[in-house]
Amino acid sequence: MSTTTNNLTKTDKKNIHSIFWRGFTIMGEMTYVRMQGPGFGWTLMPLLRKLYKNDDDYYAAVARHMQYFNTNPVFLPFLQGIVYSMEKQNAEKPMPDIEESVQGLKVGLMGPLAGLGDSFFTGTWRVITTGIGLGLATQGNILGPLLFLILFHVPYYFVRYYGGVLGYKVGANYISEAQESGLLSSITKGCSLLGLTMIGAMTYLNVPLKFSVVTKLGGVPFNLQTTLDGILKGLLPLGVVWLLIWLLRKKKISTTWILIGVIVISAVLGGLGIIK
Amino acid sequence: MVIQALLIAVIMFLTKFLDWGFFNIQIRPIWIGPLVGLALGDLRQGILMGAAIEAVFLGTFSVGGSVPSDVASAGVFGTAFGILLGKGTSAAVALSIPIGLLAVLLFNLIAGVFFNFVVDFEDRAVANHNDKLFTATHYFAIIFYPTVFAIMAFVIMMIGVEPVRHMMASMPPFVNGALTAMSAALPALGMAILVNSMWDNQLMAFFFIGFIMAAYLKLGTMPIAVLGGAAAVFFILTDYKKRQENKNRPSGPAAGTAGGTGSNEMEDFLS
Repeated sequence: MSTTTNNLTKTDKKNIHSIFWRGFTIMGEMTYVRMQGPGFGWTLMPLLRKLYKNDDDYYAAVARHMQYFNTNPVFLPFLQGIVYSMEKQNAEKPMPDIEESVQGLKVGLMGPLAGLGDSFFTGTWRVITTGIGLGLATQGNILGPLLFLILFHVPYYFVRYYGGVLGYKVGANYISEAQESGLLSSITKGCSLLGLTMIGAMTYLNVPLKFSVVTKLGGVPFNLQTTLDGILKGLLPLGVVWLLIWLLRKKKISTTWILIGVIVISAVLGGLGIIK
Repeated sequence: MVIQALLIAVIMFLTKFLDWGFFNIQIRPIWIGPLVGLALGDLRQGILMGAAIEAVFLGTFSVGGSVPSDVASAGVFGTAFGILLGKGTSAAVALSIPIGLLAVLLFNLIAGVFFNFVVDFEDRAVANHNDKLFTATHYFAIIFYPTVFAIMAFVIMMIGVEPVRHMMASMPPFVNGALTAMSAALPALGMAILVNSMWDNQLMAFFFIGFIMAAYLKLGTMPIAVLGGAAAVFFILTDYKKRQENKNRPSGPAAGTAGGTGSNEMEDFLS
């Protein structure tokens, strides 16, 4: 493949559609051993069949793409496009170390791309769209869930599809350039900024924890929640969230134990009528 | 009951199929709840319960293939039990947690054990030059995974509702307070997990900015998202420019390889 990008021919478009649609099934036989690997091999099968007329070469190519592979599926077509361009080179002029080079490329790219996909789509964009959806859904409005489905998935499928076009056209150079220049890290950090802002907002909006205890202090009625609201609204949810962050980060306690702890403590305090 | 159980089984199948079988849609309680509500004839309760369960499971998502809790099962059964037992959203949330954790066992049995044999079978099919068999096995796996969950859903809906109803009915009144407090406290864990996964000393201030925007400026999530997005774009451009400048500086006077190593060191230092 030449370094200049070519316009897509009819066959190219057909190939891109093939990897885009077949890519949706990549999790089909997901295991903890090879992850999405076998699925990845399956998604490339028709393209490999076209490239390798010889049966031995074809099955060797399928087998080499069934090895360990795992990424965020949003960038899957992008990677498939890159891999296709590499296999095409190999089919035209066999490379001696195709096995290592194509595997190295996949393993090298799947990490940063999974990081970008997880931090943007799973971490940030999902939280934002869920937040917008929850705002309406907590009032029983059906627009909430619908808005979440549309807002999340339209950009998701857009990136997924055009990632495939991009990977097919420009090959591997583009992403390694973005990684080297630091653009990828900048974007990842920017996503975290947005995500943290949203989580801060949702800590107030979606953690409805309150003190329900009302007593008399020296004959004066004392409502703990009202007093705390005078200091900082949402102090209890904020405090609990930060206590849990501290346990996760500094104490390295597993989420399962924290989950059990939260359930037990909140149930006891709720049963005693201290919080609600 | 059979019809309802069948409908729930279909929803369960659909969620698992759209998740891993095809389309890779985000499987979230926020939209599973309304679907279950629709199937059981109470859409409004479905929306409310779906939203409440979503808030708890917000921090639960699969990273790198490991699944902490089965969000789909939690959403389906939490809402279904919540509606059928008529105990409200806090009961739905309280039931969704153990269900999500238990369903992971079934998930692990499939992805952790059974699919390894499927993959082995596929390896042998490819080694024997039989790509049709590989395709057939691939399709089998795609259908098998949601089907197992659908069967589980049907069985649980047929035999599970009465025991759970009995259990909830025989509970003393303070349990209600405990369940309410639990469903209010659990979303905090979701938030904490998300913050932990995005932790960045430089950026933690934005958590508090978001908090105050919601608590005191009374902004909804949409305007907060727009403001946060604007700040993020500004940050990305500034941060990228700074990286470029840092990279260009050392390669100025001492050209060639010396400049190259210098910029690498700078990158190591920054990362």
